[in-house]
Amino acid sequence: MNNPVFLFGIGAFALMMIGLYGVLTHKNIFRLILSLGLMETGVNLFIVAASYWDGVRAPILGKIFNVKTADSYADPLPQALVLTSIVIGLGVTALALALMIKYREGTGTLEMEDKREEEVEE
Amino acid sequence: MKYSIFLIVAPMAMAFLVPFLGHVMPALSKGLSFLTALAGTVLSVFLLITYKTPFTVIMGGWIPPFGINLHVDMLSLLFATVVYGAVTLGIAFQLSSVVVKKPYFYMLILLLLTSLNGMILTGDLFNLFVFMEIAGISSWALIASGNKTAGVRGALQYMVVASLASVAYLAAIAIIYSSTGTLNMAQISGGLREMNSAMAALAVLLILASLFTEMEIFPFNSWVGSAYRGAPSSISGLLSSAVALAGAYAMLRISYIVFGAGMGNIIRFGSFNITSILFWMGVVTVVTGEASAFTQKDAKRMLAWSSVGQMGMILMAIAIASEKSIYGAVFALITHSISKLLLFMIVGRLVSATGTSDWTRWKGIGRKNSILGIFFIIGALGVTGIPLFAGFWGKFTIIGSAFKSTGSSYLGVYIILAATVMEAVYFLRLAHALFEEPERKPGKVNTGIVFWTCTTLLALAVVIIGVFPAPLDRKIKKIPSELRGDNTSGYISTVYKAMGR
Repeated sequence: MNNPVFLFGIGAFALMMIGLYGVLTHKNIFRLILSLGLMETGVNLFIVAASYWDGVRAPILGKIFNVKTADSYADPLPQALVLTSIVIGLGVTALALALMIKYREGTGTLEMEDKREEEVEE
Repeated sequence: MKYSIFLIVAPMAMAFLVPFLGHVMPALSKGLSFLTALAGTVLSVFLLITYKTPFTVIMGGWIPPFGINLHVDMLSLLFATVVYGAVTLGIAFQLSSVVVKKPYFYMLILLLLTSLNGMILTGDLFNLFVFMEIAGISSWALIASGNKTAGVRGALQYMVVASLASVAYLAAIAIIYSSTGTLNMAQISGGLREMNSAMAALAVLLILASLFTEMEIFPFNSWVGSAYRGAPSSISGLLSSAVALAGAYAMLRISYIVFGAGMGNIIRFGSFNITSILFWMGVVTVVTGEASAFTQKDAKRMLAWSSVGQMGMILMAIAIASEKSIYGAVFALITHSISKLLLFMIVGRLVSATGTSDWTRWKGIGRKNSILGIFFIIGALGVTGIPLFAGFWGKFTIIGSAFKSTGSSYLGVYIILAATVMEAVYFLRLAHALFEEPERKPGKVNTGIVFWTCTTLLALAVVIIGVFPAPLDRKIKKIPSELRGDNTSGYISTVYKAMGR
């Protein structure tokens, strides 16, 4: 129970499931975007949890961290993956909010309903 | 051969230049984006002609697995050429349209082009994810740029499903990386079989779910109808001919390289394994896609669901996994791209002329524009797979491979034949309506020299590939042995050679 991987894994899984529940049950676009954000956070936490190594140091060369051999490094790659995915998530959320505003301007509502069909002209 | 990196870099550099240039000289920026796509087409055709054996390009001097490698073989070159050709014609079509788009639109098309080529050339799982996300973001924005609220609605629906898919893909990457310690496709290859079987099964299912979304496979394709309908017609054509093509490419690459030759052993319940999952998903997709297309009165939705049906057939061929079925899948993908782009161009102009996408109100419009009607029929026969038209050879080979396969794959013969009959009915029903007695005076269809050039090129391609398949046949014949990866010219040994092992 004291293993951080366990806590991280439970937290990541819970976040993903809460987000999935939100996506499946809501029709309000803003709540959909919030739920997707929760899922993205969950999966980022999952990447960190899945690649956690116990008893290693931060992979930074220098006197402060006192890293002598390659064995004592933590793997830096997952950090890069998570950073990339956070940035992508930011872009997706920004675009989604912009689309939401345009949708609201066109229909006057934030609910996704499929019944209405506007004529298309291009 | 290092030129192949320009297939990704050139459109990306131009994508950053176009919006700045667009403030000063909008016309020049649009022309430049067309020229970039055209130059890329020429480069990819040049690479295709001079191609001999597969090669790997190592990026930035970092040897994989620390760096990222691009892999160029016949499959990726053919698909890059198709994507470039489709985008070039799509840009030309949009430029000749009456609806004038801002320079940002062309920036997004160039970004889409970058990301699709990235998906096709990369040899790294995470790099593939990044390019998939760029393709997603640019295509949502492109879909939302047309038809006011209809476009935005389609884009939002696509976004929600595709974001779920990307979360699934990322979770799978975390599982694979923590077990195998690498993200390079060649190094992972077969490694999934040595993983904890429950974890491997979870990773495979998550990856399949996200690739099914890219490839428009049931039940991950609920967004298809409204996204294709809401998008401007040039973008609907590109979604079908380039984005779905790149999705199918990722499916081919990941199922044959990452899952490996023994992919049936990763998940197994008795005789039910991962290839059965792929096969039955394909069957359900063909049936639901063709049935949905059959009931549509909206021409753009009809074409969208017809694409779904074709993708289902291709997934069935991928699942059969014999030399012949891979050949058939690649052939069908390429010819489908050509014919569907032609159909979307014609339908787009008809929608603009009549102000509606309901084809029952298009009666008689083909009488005044008979060449347009004939091109529509050529495109329709090309998708359907009538002999002497391009779609025939792919479908014929897939049916042949299903005949030779054992077990439930035999069912593929009946499914594909039944789907072909349905396709023929709903396409020719539309074509018939075009030549019927008009109820009201049909409007003028906006055509021009650019439009005629684009459609004539595509229609000629459909007929020429149908009558003389030999040049394409010689190229596609190389693919199955290169793709299986278990020989000297295969994917895995090429990448390992480049890594110096």
